[in-house]
Amino acid sequence: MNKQRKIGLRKHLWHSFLGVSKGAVSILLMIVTTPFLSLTLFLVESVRYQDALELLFELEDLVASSTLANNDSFLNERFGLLAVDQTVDLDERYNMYMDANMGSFKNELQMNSMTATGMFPLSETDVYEQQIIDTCEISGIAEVIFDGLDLDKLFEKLNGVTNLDKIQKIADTGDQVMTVLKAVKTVYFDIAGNPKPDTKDGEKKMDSLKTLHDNYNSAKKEVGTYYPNFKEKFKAYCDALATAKANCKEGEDPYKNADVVKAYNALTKPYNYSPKDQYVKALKKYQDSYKALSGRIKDIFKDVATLQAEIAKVKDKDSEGEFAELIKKIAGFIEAVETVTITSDTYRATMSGEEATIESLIRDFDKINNTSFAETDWKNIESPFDLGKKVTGTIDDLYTVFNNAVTSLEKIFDEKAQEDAAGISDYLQLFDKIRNITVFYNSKLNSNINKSDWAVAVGADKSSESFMNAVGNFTSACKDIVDGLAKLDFIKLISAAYKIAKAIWELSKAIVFSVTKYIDKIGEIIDATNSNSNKVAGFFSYVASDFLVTSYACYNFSSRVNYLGKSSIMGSVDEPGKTGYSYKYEGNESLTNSFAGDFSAFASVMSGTDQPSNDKRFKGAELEYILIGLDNECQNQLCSFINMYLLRLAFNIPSVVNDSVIKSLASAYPPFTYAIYLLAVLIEPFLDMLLLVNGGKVNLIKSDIYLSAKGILIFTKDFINAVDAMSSIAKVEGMKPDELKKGLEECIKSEASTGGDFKVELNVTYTENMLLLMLLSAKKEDKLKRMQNLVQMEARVKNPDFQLSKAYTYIKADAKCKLKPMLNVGFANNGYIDVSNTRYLGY
Amino acid sequence: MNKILKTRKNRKGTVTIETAIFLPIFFFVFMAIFGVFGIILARHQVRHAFFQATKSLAKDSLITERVDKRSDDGNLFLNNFGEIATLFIRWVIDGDNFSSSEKWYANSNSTDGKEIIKARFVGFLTGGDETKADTYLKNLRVKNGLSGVTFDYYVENGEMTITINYTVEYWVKLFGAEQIPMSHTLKTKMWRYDGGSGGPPSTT
Repeated sequence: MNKQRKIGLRKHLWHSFLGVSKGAVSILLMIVTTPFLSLTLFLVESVRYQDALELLFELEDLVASSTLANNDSFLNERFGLLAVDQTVDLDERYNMYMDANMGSFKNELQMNSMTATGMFPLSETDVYEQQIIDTCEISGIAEVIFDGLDLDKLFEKLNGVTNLDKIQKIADTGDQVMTVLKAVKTVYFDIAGNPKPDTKDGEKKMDSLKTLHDNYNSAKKEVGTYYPNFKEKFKAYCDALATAKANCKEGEDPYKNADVVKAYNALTKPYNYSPKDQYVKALKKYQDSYKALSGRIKDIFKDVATLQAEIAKVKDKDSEGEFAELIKKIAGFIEAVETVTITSDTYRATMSGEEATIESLIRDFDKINNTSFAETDWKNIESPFDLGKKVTGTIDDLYTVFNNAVTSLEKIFDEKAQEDAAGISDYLQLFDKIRNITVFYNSKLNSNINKSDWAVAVGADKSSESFMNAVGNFTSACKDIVDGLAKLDFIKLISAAYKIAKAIWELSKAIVFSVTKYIDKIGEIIDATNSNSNKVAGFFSYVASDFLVTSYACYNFSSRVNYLGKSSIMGSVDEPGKTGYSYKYEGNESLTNSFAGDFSAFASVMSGTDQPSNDKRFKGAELEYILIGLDNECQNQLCSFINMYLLRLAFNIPSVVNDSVIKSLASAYPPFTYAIYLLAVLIEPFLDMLLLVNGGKVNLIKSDIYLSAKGILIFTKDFINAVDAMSSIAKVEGMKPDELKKGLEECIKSEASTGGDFKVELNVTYTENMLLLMLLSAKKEDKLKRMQNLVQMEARVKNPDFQLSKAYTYIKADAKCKLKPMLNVGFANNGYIDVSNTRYLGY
Repeated sequence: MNKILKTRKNRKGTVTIETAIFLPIFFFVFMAIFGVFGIILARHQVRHAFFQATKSLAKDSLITERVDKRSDDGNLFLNNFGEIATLFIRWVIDGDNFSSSEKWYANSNSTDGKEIIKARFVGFLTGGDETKADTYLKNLRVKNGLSGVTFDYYVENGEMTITINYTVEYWVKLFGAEQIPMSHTLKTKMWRYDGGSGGPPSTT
């Protein structure tokens, strides 16, 4: 085929084709445009999908927000906490809102399943802490600042508090002085005897040296009484025996000779009352009395040597001489004893010789029988006339010296005793009265909670026990001193002197131990504030969240001071408190302040009672529980009182020991210098506590103390005002303000003047003291857990089924739904697109 | 007859005619789909602002009932510094567009309440500028812009039900079928408020 024919054929075919394919353009257009349209529809569907997804997110968000809006109103109003209400199931509520809101959108979404679960309940300590910080981040700090706590001044004052030198010195020197006094006591009792021993202190009943000496002399006399009769009878027996031996025949037993037997019987019968028995008994008695006396004298030498050594040690440590006067007096006693010229070694040798002689005499005479008696034994009976002759002089000399030493010691204490006693007795009497004031706890706040009712397990703090024991021993020793001085009972006095020295040492150690934890923490705070140019910022950066948590606790939980009335957190039986809630107790018992417990109550209160642990809530002392953590409300109050007392003691020590009046009084009565310091250190914080638990205020760190002319009137005025403010319900057992004032005036020995210019600065209430106390001693984790327990405890009053572990702060919402297609084109799942989402939302 | 046969055999212009028929249909469908995008966009934007406004409105009672408490003679009592800070944020930072101290929720469907709801809606739509909101809605083809958006609400036992009504217009007129009425209803819990006695609005 040629070329032209081929082209023609092609044209023909093309035209034929065009002519045959009718609508090819349309088809072509369809083929071209269909993908565009499909793509467009796909884009529309994807936009719908995204829109539906966004809708689902927004719905979940709204529904979760609505669920969270149903928060527990009690938790919010009472504690400022946010948690989902527990009266309706969380999932049920969530579904209810979702169903209500899906109505408008059911054309777009078909819900398959939706579930909501709670997360991060308030029983988790981290969650609870965060809520507290959120609640009081601004208000917590503001409350403290607006309460007028001048932090700059506080830091300045805190610097001085860390100095425990005086008390530490008492503790360091005190144990040595105590040993000296113990040695003095031992020597004294060795000589003077101890007819009324303090068995608690390990003392045993002892006869005096005079008694032993008298017993010795009377035993010696008794020997002399029985000796002539014995000698006569024994000589007669020996003579009869000698004659019988000379005259006896072979085979004859001279011991059976009638005269010998008669003489023997006269010597040895009747049994126990024969001349021999009586004489031997007398000898044995002599031996016992001699042993007792010589043993005592040996003990005296030994104990005097110990005393000399101990005095030497004290002189080394106490070179400045605060104990010098005391040592001087005792040294006089030592000098008196040292006038004994005979050395203890020589004495020992002489006395031992005598002992051996008596021992052999008794042994020999005990062996007398009518079978084998040698004539030479007769010679031994002569020596009893020498009995005691060698030693009597020695013994008498020693006895005289020792007795004179004791008399001189007693005279030393007698001379100035009354005067010295006057110095201490006023303090002792005041402290004696004070320690009987019952303010340690409010006995009406006496709930006992069952451990199983708590939301979270947490330990307790009973660290004040050693201090209380030391105070108890100290006050008991002080009382003995006063009694001994009043009755001039020297036995009691010398025991009490040792006891008080021991008690002073124990107490000063206990004070140092108990307050060191506060001092160390204060030291850390001071370092932190000083390391920052802005002290306030430094302070807050150091205490950080602990401060917020603690201030939240102090201003949101009631204490024994503020648990009643309209202005309180909790309200009372008759009127609601700040939160609008008021609690009625079983039987509608009205709560009052009924103060109980004194210094001696610690052991009995802490040992527990038979009170059943079935109370459901505390009656008001919640802050005390946060500090201490025991299940018994009275125990919490008691321990809190003591801890706060120790804190006040720590803060008061510098001002008390540096007070001019106290210093001059203490130095005026040398043997009782430290006792007076310690008494003042014990009394001053107690006066603070009297004010604080009655709703009053005290200077946080004092320049002037209440135990002063300036302080007395101020204290009594404040005390009366505080008691009056709670007068309808407050009672301070044991001491009225007037009596207290009188006691204080006697202590400082001056007429109460106008009160002068008593410095009032950094006045703090019980609550603020608790805040500091908790910052300085309680761990943040423990505080948080105890607060969690209190939240559950209180919430159960409104809702008995409340569980802190179900107080959720977050919701996790899972939703699964289907997106309805625009056009059902028959794909799998009927063309529906599955959509699911998990949403988290919290407060 | 031959003329007709001759005419049938003459195929000139068929492509043009087919194209002239088909292309418009294609473009019409394409633009219709494009219009759907617009409707979805409008609905999405309005709905989003509505959701956010609803959540925000639910929290008005929290501050009003808890913090911004007034006595009968209008005096304000604050308990602590935290409450002062809360009110400062409300008055100075949030302003009227995101917070209201009126107790609008105490009376269902009140005029003041509706104004507050609308203001909140505008706040979440365009930051509070009504003019801008109006323009924006018109651009979204919401009929009559902001004035075409209406709200109804009632609060009962602390639960608020709020409805938004508006009409979206299709971008081309379709003999009256271009008006697409939209309505969304949401139910939420008013924070810290359990009052309100109004029920759903009467339909008579």
